Amino acid sequence: MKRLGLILSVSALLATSFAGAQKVNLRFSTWAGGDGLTLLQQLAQEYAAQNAGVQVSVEVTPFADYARKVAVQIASGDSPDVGWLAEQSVPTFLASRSLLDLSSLTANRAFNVPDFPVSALSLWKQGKGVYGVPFSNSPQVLFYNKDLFKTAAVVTPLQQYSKGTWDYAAFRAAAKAITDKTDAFGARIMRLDVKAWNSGTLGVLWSHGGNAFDSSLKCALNSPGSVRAFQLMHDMTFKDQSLPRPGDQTTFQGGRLGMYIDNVSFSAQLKDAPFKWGIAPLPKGPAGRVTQLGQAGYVVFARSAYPKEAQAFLQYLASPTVMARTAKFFPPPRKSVLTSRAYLTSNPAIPAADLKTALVNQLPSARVFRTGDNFLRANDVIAGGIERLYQPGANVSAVLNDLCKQVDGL
Amino acid sequence: MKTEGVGTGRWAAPEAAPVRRPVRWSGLLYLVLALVSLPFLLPLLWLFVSAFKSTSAIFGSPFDLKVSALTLTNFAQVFADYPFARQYFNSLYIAALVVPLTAAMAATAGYAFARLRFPGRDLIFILSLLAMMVPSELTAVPQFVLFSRLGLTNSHLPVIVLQIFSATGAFAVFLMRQHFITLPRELEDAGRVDGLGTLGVFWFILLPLSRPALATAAIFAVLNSWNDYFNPLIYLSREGLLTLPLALQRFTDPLGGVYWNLTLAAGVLVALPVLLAFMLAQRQFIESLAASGTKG
Amino acid sequence: MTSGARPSRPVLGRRALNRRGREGWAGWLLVAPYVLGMLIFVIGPLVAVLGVSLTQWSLLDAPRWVGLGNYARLAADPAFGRSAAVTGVFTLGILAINISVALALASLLNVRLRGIGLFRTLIFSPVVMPVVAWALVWKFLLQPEGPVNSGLAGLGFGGANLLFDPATALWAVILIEVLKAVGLNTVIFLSALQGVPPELHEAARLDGASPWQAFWRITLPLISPTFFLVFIVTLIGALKLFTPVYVLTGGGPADATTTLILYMFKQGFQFFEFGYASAVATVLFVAVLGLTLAQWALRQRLVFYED
Repeated sequence: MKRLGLILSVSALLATSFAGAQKVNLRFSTWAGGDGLTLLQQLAQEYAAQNAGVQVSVEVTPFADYARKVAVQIASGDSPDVGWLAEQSVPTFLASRSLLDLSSLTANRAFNVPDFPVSALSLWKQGKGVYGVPFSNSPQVLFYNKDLFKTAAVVTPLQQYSKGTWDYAAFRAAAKAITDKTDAFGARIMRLDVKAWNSGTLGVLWSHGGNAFDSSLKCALNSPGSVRAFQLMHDMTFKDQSLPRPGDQTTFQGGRLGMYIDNVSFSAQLKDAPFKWGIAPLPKGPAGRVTQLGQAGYVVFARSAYPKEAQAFLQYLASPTVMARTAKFFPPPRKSVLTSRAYLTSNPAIPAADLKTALVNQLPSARVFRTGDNFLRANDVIAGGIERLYQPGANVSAVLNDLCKQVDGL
Repeated sequence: MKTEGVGTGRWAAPEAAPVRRPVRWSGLLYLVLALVSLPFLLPLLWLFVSAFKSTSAIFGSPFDLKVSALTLTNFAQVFADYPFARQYFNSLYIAALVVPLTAAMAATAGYAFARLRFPGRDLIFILSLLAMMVPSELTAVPQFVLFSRLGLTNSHLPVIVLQIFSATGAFAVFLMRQHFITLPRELEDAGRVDGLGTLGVFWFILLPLSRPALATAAIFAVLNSWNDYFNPLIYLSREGLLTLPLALQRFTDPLGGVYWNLTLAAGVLVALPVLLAFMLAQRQFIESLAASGTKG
Repeated sequence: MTSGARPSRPVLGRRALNRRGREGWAGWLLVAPYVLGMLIFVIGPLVAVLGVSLTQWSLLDAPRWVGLGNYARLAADPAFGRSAAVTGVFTLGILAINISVALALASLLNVRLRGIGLFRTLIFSPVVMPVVAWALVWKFLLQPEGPVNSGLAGLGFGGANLLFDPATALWAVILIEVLKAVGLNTVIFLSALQGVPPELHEAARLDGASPWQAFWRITLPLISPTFFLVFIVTLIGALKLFTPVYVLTGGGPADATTTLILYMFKQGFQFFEFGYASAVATVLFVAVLGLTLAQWALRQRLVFYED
């Protein structure tokens, strides 16, 4: 009985510390870390200071567990009010009507919708509704290790781009030269986690005329363009051995990778890098130079207890002034911020001219990865297929045909 | 051959049975032991060395054990830039609550299951075996609904309560029951002759004999509480409330990319106290296991 | 189940009857805190899961009743069958390797030797290592061109990629998990071995028994209660094991390491099919329960000392 008493008194203690607030307490859910999180907490405080009666508490969940935790919270009637949402979760949350329509907010003139490129909002629209506003609109760029290019005596991607010769043949040749002449791998296209295969891979597919899903959301991984792209990556992995095999933990920040495809925000990982690096546009393929546009946005959850206050907070977050501040970490979707001098010079590690060439100028041809609402299941199947594909001696088109059969059979 | 009373006293303390070995045999033994412990030592060594390296050194030359590349900045940054001290305190105090509560509950319930007859006992005991087997991932959603209706999310209470009553607690109860079964009945009868009631016998006679078993239950509770990931993940959302296994996932860049140097430095700090405690107390630990309910 | 009940105790007359009444009260009083907590926080939610398994529920919308539909779907789902097979291999592999290695290590460590505490600590140390760090170490060690695979190449197994080849990944995960967890079982066995009187071994030696025979005939029977405890804890642990596998492979490559608990997790928290996941959970749960009851029945026959 004593322990029961103890439990009760502990619970009373814990409960009192969270009670007693008469104010509207908005819960803002994010997976941000480090300086990004510090900034969001600061914004929350400033907002509360400007708006008497509203308080914002920032809640954090590791990115890998984010969507499932929010789903459990929503299922239990414990939904956060405002939150981040990554692009791959958008179809699922839309299909289950878990997001609030923000069109009354975006119709507001102060919001200035024309400031957003049409492509930036397409993922978040359904019917006449707008269900989220991106805060990060990030075309993937190519990071390259200047020291390795120098050692291998290869012209850098940025120089080749300015000469107009930066295509996938040049990419393969550069990777091979670095592999042969240094103890590093030439390039890494995918991230370490095969589940995130689409990062990097999609840009290569699109530039070769391939795709993951066609316009009717059927599997297109075995289309001729996709097969060509996968064959290239397979050859680079096993013939040239210039791409690391799945399971290899070599990362760009370790200095033993010539090139790597990721979002600009990856540069935060390179703070203490003991080598020189730069960014460049992705190579050009037979179907053009297409890069993947990564997005994450602000949403208001439909089960929010304070939908009105939550929308007002979202409006604040998505306003030009606040977006100019978050742009330090996340490439802003607002054109007015993106083209500002302040944004282009915000990253001390990247010269403004390079950022303009590699990122801003690539936006018109960048594409968002559109998926169906069963993407989570499809992605699991595809990741398994990619693992089978990257085995020595795999028959690329046979594996992909089989894979598409499975994906379409879901 | 009957071996009753195994649990009450060991036949021989290890000290009482010195095995004399010729010197060359012990040399060979050291060699074998060194070889066998290699796969256990190397990962530990790697963790400890990497914790003192920069990210580029961890990934660039992961198996380089050169001392010159080592630095303390990771540890400084872990405490300076993140609320790691606060999170460390959270884990400490949660363990400090979970352990005695689990032990107390397991002692009383274990005694009742082992020695007292009351209606429904066997059914309840089977249910507690069930509770021992249920993975926490399985019941997470209904539990979360329960606690959120009580308004207790974003507090440590669900994490503590679930640790006490789910698998950890059920295992402790099981362990204590097995322990009490091995104690001879005569002890109780003697107590009753002296005029003690059921609770008196438990408190004054049996409990003092149960320290090793309680210590064993406590050790499992410490390990489980210290390493608990899933429940804290679901219940705790504020940076200052997180516990250590979750905190280890929070050393990331703005979009979630992992800072491995900080994660590994923090990982060393998470592993260190339990490792040191085991090193200092390993003999008592093994002896308490030997004298505890693990015999049955 | 009732080894502690001893139903054949002598009847002591009225005083005893009275005592039995008091005993009942005391019994309930002593188990009440635990039983209440267990019923509310574990058994209740478990019943709820059984209920959810009869619905279709994405967590994000309202549950819809489908009766036994999820179970019918399970029966026809080849991925579920594959996952059950993976679970079988995984569990048996862990049981066999973990217990035999733990016994061998415990026998090796059961010596009086200067510095033996250091070796015991080393063997135990992975038990307290954070899972994330442990998994990271092994991802490094098992890279395609990392030390392990290069070593194998040196032995003539060129191109080995243990953790990422569907044919070997499951065994790689089993071995990594055994290395992580075997320290605890080793210490438990060690404690049991220290309870075995050395005189018995001395006597067996004088009778001409080999050390191997002495181990099988004397040591093993004497530590059989410990053996069974370790067996049941390891069995349940293997069937429940989630985080290490999830962090190490996430169930891949090509589902080669997707055990039932991972399969359940994927269905529920990755694909948001919570009704279906609950059906998987129910099947897993019934299997564990059956195994535990079976081993309990077996224990009455094999374990040495109880009554």
